[in-house]
Amino acid sequence: MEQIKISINGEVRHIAANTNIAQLLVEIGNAEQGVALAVNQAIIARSEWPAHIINHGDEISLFQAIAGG
Amino acid sequence: MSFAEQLKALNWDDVRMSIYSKTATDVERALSKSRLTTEDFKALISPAAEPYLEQMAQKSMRLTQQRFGKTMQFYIPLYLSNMCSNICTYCGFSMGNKIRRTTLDMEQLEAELKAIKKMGFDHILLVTGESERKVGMAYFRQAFPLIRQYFSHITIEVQPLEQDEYQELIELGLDAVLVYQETYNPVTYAEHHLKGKKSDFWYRLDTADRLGRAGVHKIGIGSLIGLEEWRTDCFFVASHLAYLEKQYWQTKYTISFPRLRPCEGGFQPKSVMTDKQLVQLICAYRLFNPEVELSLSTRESEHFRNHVLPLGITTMSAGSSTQPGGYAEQAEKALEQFEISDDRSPASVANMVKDLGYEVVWKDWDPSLSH
Amino acid sequence: MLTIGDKTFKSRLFTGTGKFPNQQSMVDALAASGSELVTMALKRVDMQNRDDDILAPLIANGMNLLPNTSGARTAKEAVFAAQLAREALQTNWVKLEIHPDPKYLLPDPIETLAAAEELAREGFIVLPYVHADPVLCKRLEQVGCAAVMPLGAPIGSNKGIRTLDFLEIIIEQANVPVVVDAGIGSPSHAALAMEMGADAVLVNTAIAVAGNPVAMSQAFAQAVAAGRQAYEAGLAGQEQQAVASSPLTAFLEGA
Repeated sequence: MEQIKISINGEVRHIAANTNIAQLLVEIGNAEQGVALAVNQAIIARSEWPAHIINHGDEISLFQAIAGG
Repeated sequence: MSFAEQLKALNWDDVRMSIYSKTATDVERALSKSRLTTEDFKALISPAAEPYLEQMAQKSMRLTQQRFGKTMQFYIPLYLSNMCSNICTYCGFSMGNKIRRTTLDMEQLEAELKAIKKMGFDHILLVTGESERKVGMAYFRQAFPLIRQYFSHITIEVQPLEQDEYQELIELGLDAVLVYQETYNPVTYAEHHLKGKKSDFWYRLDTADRLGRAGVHKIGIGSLIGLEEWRTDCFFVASHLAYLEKQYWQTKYTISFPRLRPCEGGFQPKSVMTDKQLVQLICAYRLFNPEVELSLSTRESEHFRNHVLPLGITTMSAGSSTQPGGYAEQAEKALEQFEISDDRSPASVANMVKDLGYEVVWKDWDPSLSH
Repeated sequence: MLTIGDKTFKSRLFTGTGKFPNQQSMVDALAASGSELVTMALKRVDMQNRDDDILAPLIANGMNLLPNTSGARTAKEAVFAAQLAREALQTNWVKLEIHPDPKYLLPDPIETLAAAEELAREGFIVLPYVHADPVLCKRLEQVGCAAVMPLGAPIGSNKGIRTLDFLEIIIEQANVPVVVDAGIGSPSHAALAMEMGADAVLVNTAIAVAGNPVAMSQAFAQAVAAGRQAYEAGLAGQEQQAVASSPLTAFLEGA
């Protein structure tokens, strides 16, 4: 299976080509609730996660809600 | 919620009863607060507040001086026309009245402006009947540039106009617009406004909103005291003011309290307001809203004006004529809209004001740097 | 009942999730407070060190979520943060918080107004955190904010209602609900804000760092309710009587 190189919150990672976002979240062990995601500074709507394929070199930013007034 | 909706949601008699059932405790509470609600205003204009009049006057004077200093703004009304297509039972200009109708042409207008200027005024109030065809935007477009040559401040009290018309007049130098609802009771209103565009209560009520949206600097409201039970009507004036201040927060406001006087029609007021009650009302407005301008015209007598001025008034007219023109030459009295009670000259009134320890302000620099 | 945007609240005590000693303490204290609206921040997931999911217990307790844009220093960053929060929490409610000054965390009025306008246009329910500036609050109302959140004192200072005179003006002039946020250090501060006519208060630090956060949050809930009840009951004023000089109304005798 072809591998591509991406970064998630600054960390370099290798994943299989043609992975979509929903699959990626499963792979890194992150629940979907309370999470938002941007690919190369563009926010990807939750409804798009199963459809959006990640490309080589993509910089992924993963955000979650945390405690904070 | 628009003010019209607020008005429709209230029952006139419930409001009246609510005012009359205010107690001394309600009045004392209102007097001890610095931010009053409309319920507090009800207490202050209720019969229960009568024994507290001196206290109200003291506080009213103090608040007025704090906000306005010891100053009195002078203005003069110039009636441009007494043509009118409305029938209003209480007014000398009512369409059915047989008086000589006239509109100043530009030459006559200029003569009047010159005469008024000689008296020292810089703030002018232009008054007309309501005759859209004869004295409408075309007339105003002509008159304004001429008037602006002489006066830095133009207020108008004419027929309600559309928002874009107000916007146009603002470009031509309009500063303030007075539009009195006469009475906030639609049923009573209909009894007195029998014909013409003025018979549309809700259109008139909406005028203040059109003015707010147009961005006019100052809006004047009020009721004609005597058409209805005055306490209830004045409560609605206060409510209208509160609503407008929240909606159009960049606008200034002024309130007037014309008491019905005899005129050509021979009209009898539904309720008669005594001098004491007028003082109570003026102080109540001031306590309710320390920032609003309060205006006292020459409908009131010399004696009354002399004593009431320091209690809350911030602007007054003097040397007024309520017929078209009337300054450049002495015309017959038959044309007046209402009878003047204080007919002292402006110089004489100015001296009285100075004797009271107040400065007469002929020209107010405050409103706008754009003029 | 308090209505903001499309929601109605029984409790006028809003709360924040920050600064608690641990997650359980936070969940317990917020549950005890009766609060129905709680703020939280958004940050990048630390891949090595995943944070606990704070949302599940809050949602289970029936709380509405109000993500804030804390961390944003410009309007652009705040808009981005709000869009992320909308995706993350599946809510269009956002507390707009832009403080470029890391020392006092005072809100930037210019960036806040710009961001508020943009977010309101994008359909967010915007609650902006700002200084107690009456004109700014009217401008925010004009661009479509669902409420305004003027501060009582700097964040975390617990100094109480330092901006009292200005809050009074804001409350008087506002056509939208006024939520006093930041600086409330004790239940009496909260009660004072409510007595003045504020529609709600937001309390975070004072509860989170209290010796007993659960008890403190209950005290706050009572204070907010008491203050509101007093306001609705019609408070007596505190003005001094005017010093009597010569009588001003004697001229009316016989009138």
